[in-house]
Amino acid sequence: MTDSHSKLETACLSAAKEIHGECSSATSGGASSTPNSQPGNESLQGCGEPLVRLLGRQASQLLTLSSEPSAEGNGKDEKTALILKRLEDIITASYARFYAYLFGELPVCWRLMYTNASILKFAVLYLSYSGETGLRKGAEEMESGLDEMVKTLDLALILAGGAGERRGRRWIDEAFALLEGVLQARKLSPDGEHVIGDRPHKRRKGMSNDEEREAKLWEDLPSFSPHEPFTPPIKHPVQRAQAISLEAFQAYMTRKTNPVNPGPSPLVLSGVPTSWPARTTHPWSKPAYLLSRTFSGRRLVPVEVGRSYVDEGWGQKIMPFGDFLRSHIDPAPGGTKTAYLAQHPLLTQLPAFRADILIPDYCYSAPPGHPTDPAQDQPELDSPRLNVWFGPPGTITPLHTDPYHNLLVQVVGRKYVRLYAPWETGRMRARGREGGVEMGNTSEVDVGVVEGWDKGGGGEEEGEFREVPFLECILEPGDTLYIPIGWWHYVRGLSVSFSVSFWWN
Amino acid sequence: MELHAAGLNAWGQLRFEKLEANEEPDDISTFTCVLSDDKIIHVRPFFSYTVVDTKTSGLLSAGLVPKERLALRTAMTKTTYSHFAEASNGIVVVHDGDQSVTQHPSLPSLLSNNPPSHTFPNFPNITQLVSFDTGFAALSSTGAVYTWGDERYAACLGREPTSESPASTPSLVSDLTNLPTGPITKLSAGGYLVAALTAGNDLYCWGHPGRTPASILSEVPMTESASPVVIDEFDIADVAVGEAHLVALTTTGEVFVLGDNSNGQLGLGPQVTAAAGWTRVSIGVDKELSGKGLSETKVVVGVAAGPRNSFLIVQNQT
Repeated sequence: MTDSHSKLETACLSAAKEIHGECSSATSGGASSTPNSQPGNESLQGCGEPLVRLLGRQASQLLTLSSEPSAEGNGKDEKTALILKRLEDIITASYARFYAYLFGELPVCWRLMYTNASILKFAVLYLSYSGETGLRKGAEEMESGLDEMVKTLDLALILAGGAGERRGRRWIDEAFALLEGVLQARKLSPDGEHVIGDRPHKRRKGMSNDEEREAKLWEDLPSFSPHEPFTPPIKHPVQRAQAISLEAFQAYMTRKTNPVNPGPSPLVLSGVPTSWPARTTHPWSKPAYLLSRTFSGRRLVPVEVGRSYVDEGWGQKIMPFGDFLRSHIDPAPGGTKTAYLAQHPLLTQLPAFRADILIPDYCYSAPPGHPTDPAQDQPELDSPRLNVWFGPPGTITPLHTDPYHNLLVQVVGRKYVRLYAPWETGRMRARGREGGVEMGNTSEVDVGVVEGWDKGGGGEEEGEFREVPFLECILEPGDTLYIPIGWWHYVRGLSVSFSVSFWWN
Repeated sequence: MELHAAGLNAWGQLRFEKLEANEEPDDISTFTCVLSDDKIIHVRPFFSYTVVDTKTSGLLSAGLVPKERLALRTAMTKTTYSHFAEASNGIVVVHDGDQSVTQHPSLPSLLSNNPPSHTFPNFPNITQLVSFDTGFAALSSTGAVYTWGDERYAACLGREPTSESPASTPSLVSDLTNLPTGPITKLSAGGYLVAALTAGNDLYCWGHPGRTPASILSEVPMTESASPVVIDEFDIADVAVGEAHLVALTTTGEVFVLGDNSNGQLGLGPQVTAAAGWTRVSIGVDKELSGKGLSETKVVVGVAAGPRNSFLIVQNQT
């Protein structure tokens, strides 16, 4: 059998075997010298003997359990429950380390431990879901079992980065794809829910015909509302141009500027993402399309809840993408708290979306360093760093500066951006260290309050801040804003808005 | 005397008899007698093991003692180290047994005799050195409490970090000086919480909610100042803090628990996930014996907590 179910079952069992082997070699002293041992950065050893042994034991329990025939009263359910509890113990113990260490100092073994325990937990859940025990369960239990499986793997991706070369993100992506296959087959089966099989995947040939058909598929479905509760006036527009060649862009970035105002200036380019599927055949402007790529909205995403990350009561929440759409993007009138899927590498977490965009050629240019403060320059990135920004009207990213050049591509809706030059840094009222966290790249100034767009207490220094020259623009769908390194920017969603940012250096 | 325990038992740390091969020990959800001895002198619970000092059998341990910990034990007997503590960010501190506390980035670094990352002098009479997830607290023989650690969780320090006494340097918790019921005599810490007990049986707590939903620890002051915690009208005789739970013993012998019960660490049974308020818990009484009028009165005389389990030291009184 080569269907999704048997493939996924095999993947689960081999993951358990591999994890068991890796745990044994990590605890048998001197493992580092044996030929089978993992390279140093793949070892769980740093998590300490107790957790490594506990994980190894659970893997072996799962293997034993799966080889036993299932029968009423042989305690299989109890054993499964205990394995799940122990894996949860390992996951929470690893997660505790994510908090305890400073960001960036967390030893990679903890992310590996989290990911492996999650993969194993998924394996236990899937095998009992698809096995005979699972088939005894009702539709509702099946549904919540499915949610639990999705949650387990998504948390490993979002919180632990799907660490590990041998399995990690690759294994998880594969498991998600297979799980969707299993589900599709189940839906198509004639007598409903409880049959597991698969149909051969439809292969799409004849590209252009298919593309046309695909575009039609979404055509009649509703788009996000273009409603814009507030539109700021534009007094000092950023220069605009049609999409230019890579050479012209390179020349634009590195042309000689006067020593008082060094470095390139922001630029709005139109027509960059015209050929992106996200703007054509795979419309990100349609909720139905987005749901179709997120396992019917089941996949989890991290969301910032609250107006702005410097506000009281702001917090981060991980929720199903479908819930985010329903309660925050397209909510019934009455209004919920603003929530923003911000600065998240969604295209890495959900590779189906990655195919909907293209990395602009401009990211392969060689940009200049920071114009006023070379200490801000970062080690060269291997590849551009992609983040998505998806939210309802009124999302705010407070005035801040990033240590990379940035292309902000507007895919859906409209966004307002205000920009201040790097040589004005002295007047940006940068925050300092706050509660042990360096906030020096973020300004104390709330541009919306200074301009009277938002309510809030105004300080005396506001008058002075108003004197500082700035540029501004409203990004339309299809626009790309180039923000050179060091430029301070304030971003405000005007309508429902979906953007992708590309950092490079 | 008896040792009663509840909570995490993943490595058999609540089982003082041998485990069977391939046995997966389950957690214990209500306080259950796990050990008896003429006298139980001391209980030290760790994440994967428990060490108990008894009169008749000497030092007993249950669970998995990691190799590193065995190496540490050897190192501590060879040196003058008197106290050791390890935080969840890997940082370890030791008292050199004389004047100073040294801090090391990790236990392996300490065991390889690498020079410390920090040395804090003038720590003459430490009676306790405890750790929470992101820092440490030390108690002196005169009752002074010093804290230090990660500034992001300043509330765990019980003091406000200033430029003179930054978070990263051991500094006096001034809220715990000149207390109405005398100096601090005991510290306990775990997760993002620290508790201190005065000579006159008052309980003080401080901390940060950490990862725990704030609602289940709402009885504990989550501010940068060490504040008194009141459990009805009781005087508190002993206290123990786990990763996200507390156990308090009153001078009248009542046991109160609070916080997370995911592993049964509160001893309130498998149905309870957490206790948001102080909850009285009683130890199991052998029904058969009490029916015959033979039951001894059991009195709890001390409490202890591992990150995810709890222990009651019980005295039989006839």
